Amino acid sequence: MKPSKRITRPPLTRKAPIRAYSTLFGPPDDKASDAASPAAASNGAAKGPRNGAGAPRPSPFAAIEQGMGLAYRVSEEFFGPSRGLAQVFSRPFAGSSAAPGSEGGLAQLSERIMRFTVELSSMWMDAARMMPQGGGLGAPGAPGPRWPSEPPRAPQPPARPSRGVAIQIDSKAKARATLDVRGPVARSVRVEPPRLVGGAARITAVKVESDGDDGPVIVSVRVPAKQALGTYVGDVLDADTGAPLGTVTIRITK
Amino acid sequence: MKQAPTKVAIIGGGCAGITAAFELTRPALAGKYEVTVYQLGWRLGGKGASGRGPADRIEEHGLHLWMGFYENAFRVMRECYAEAERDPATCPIATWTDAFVPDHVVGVMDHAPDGRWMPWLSPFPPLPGLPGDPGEPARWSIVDYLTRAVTLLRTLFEAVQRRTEHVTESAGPAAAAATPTSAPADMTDRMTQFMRAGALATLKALLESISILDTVVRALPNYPGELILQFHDVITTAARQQLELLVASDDGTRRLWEVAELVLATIRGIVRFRLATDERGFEAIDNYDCREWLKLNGASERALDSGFLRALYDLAFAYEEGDPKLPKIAAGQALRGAVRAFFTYRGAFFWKMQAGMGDIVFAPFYEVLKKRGVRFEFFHRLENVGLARDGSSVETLAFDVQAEIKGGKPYAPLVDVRGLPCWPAAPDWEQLADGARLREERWQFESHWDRRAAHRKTLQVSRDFDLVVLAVPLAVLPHTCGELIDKSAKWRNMVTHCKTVPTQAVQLWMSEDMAGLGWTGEQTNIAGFVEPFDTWADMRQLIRRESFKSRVGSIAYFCNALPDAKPGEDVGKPEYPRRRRAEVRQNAIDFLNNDVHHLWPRARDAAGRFRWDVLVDASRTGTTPKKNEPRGESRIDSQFWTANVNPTDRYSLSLPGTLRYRVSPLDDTFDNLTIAGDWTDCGFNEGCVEAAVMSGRLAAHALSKSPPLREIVGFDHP
Repeated sequence: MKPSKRITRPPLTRKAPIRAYSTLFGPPDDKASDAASPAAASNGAAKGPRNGAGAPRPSPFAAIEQGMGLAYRVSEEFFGPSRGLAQVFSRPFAGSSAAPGSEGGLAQLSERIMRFTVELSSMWMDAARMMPQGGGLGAPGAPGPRWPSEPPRAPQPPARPSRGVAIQIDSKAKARATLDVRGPVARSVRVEPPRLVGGAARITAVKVESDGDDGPVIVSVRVPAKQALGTYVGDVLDADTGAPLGTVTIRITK
Repeated sequence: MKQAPTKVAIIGGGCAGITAAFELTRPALAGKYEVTVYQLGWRLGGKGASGRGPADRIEEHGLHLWMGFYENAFRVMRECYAEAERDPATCPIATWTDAFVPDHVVGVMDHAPDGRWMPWLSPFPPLPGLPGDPGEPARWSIVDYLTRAVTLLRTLFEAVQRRTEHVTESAGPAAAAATPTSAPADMTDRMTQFMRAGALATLKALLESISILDTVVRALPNYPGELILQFHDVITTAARQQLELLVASDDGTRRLWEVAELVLATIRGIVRFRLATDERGFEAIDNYDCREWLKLNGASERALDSGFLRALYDLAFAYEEGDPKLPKIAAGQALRGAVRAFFTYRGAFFWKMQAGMGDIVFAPFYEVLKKRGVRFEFFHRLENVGLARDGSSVETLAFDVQAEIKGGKPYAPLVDVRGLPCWPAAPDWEQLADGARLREERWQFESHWDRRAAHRKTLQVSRDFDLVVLAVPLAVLPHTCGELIDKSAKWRNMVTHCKTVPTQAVQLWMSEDMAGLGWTGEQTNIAGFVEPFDTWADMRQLIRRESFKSRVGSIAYFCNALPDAKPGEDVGKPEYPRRRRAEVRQNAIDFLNNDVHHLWPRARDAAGRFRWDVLVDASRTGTTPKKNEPRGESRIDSQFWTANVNPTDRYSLSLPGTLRYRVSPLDDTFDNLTIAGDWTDCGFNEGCVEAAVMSGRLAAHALSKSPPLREIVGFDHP
């Protein structure tokens, strides 16, 4: 039997759940992969307005683009008399009695507005920090977390943030590495092989070296030529206690 | 010209397989898929199968409770009952509300420091809505959960405060924090003020500080994590100092404090691990065991050994190799399960089935699917999934046909129990060709060790099937899918790293009612109890569904994980399942003699042993015991117990560091096959009905793009 005559599964645009916090507004519009819902068609389930803001951010620049997109939506739709978007925002949390348009719904709407605004501003600040020349926009009242970053092309000389940890990446594909380390770094550090978000692929060529006892810890990541595109995240751990120190994020794009 | 339907072979008629069949045959798909379900033995249900035995007693695979957050499971179940259109005049369980009844009481066994076992029952308030209500699915974020966790913390401290009479008004920080606002600078000042004050002198001050924490976590990314952690630590330390004396002297305060400690550790962990903004959501901590992670975030040994946490492990059979000394569950999934269970349930925390799970779930599905034209091929044991030469697709499906049906007719699997369609506990031998002989020779169609068959049948791709939904349990794969495992590293990793465990269950029918046995509380379910049966459910609601001639005052179900085979033991020998069954029998005897009195103080006789005479023999034909009924411990033989050691029986574990090896139903390694079951990477990676149903819906999506992913509630979830 020739393969062309055999019936095969349809191609899917998505193969994993979205777990990122950027799904505040729900998953991306998966209409492309989703046929019309027979269940919804039969039970008349309401369809709220949708948006395309759910995908994991592929890069800091994409984060900014996304932030701008959201900001435009805020100005155009949110603060305007848009009943549709209000319904999205006032969609009750499971177990909540608040219904759109009710007093509870309005309260919830306000809470979501506040949360959205805070998260949006936070995302802007994070994005600014991630830019090569960014920085200086700490959270109010205290210094913010550090977001050291690497330019997209590798190999690059290691950048050394003041916390004494640096990352270098060796990749033929376009890749960006982010090292997010919190607090003091232990003498002995281990890095879990970064794993594809929503998949099983891993980057196993990760080395941790330190420049003397007090020198910076250098995390070296080599991305194989045929590594699947996507975002890979690995934990940075205290090798002695297993305590979390932060994460390494590698974004491989076309 | 109308296109010929696509032939789908679904192997396995458990929750996942049946859900896939239900989705693929929805009327809206206009008959695009022609579905055949291939099922081992005589009944659907898999690990959710049940059967009617003597006196119509319900014999379950284990203990099944539906939880109020099972949105997908309730959604398809409600649609199924609506479509079945059972007549309430003739069928005692005609609607889903007949089938499932809210149960608001959650129970755990509390092990006091002095060694006493005490039940702790907590009524959970009914929440608005009903599980499976139609409409746009809810969505959740970790910030939502964090906010709710802090609210819960406040409620717990308020409960502690009510238990004490030593609350004094506080000045200083508490007064300053009386009306928290959300302005970051203001909040930062208030947190700093509290920390400068050192210990928080009163519970009132603690409550005020929790209010601040509440405001802060609602806007989590906007505050420096270190400051929040420091503030959190001040609260924890102060609470610990203040409550230590109370905890030692008052069981109620101790329990509340244990839960509060776990909540505090969870909040600390979420902030410390930055889960609210991690791309992986809760998955980011799946390499940790839940207890290990909570300990890493400050939970005390006492809280880690609390009934509350033991129950979390017990309900998921979370013991590696079934060993009570190896409790393990991936922290991320455990946390996801806990927040879904506690914060997103609708209607009631638990929903109790009003008959056997087979009767309640699989009989109506069977009726509806039959009406839709689904074919059921019972007595089909999968032997091999064969790949095409290039390894990209399934070419053959080999089955042992365990028995032929007389006259080549379809097997009619259900029996009528006073108007309710039910599954029997044994096959209807009358329908089987040469059935009398098979019965005499004791053919065991569900036993992995009984390989007898009438003949071999091999299905060919394109001729007999186009697409395959492999909905058998994980432990079956090594026995049937060798070619797939050899071909795919993903599959190899999955069967190597993902583990399963056998389980054990015992059911008792007793002449005394619960009060007569000494249980004075409400009807409940309790976990966190002793081994070998750590979970108990009071199933008195089933008495009226069965047909005992003599009085049954109570029904009790117990279950637990069962330790795996001993090292070096030959599990291939037919003696193995018999030995394990005898072991469970002995476990039941020991448990009833030694431990059950902690639950039922009046179940002991004068010698301190279990009152074996309360057990009711289903074979009684009159209202009084037969003269030749056994006495003493051997009366256990009149009850029902099971050692679930078949590969088809084994429960899928969520061990730390293993979930990443699961394969998703959406994975397309093989272009005409998808998988389904609670062992797959289905978004909620913990063995339960909801995971199986989610997986079945995903499998249907993989073949037909229906249902849309956004309708699979909780798939996109941190």
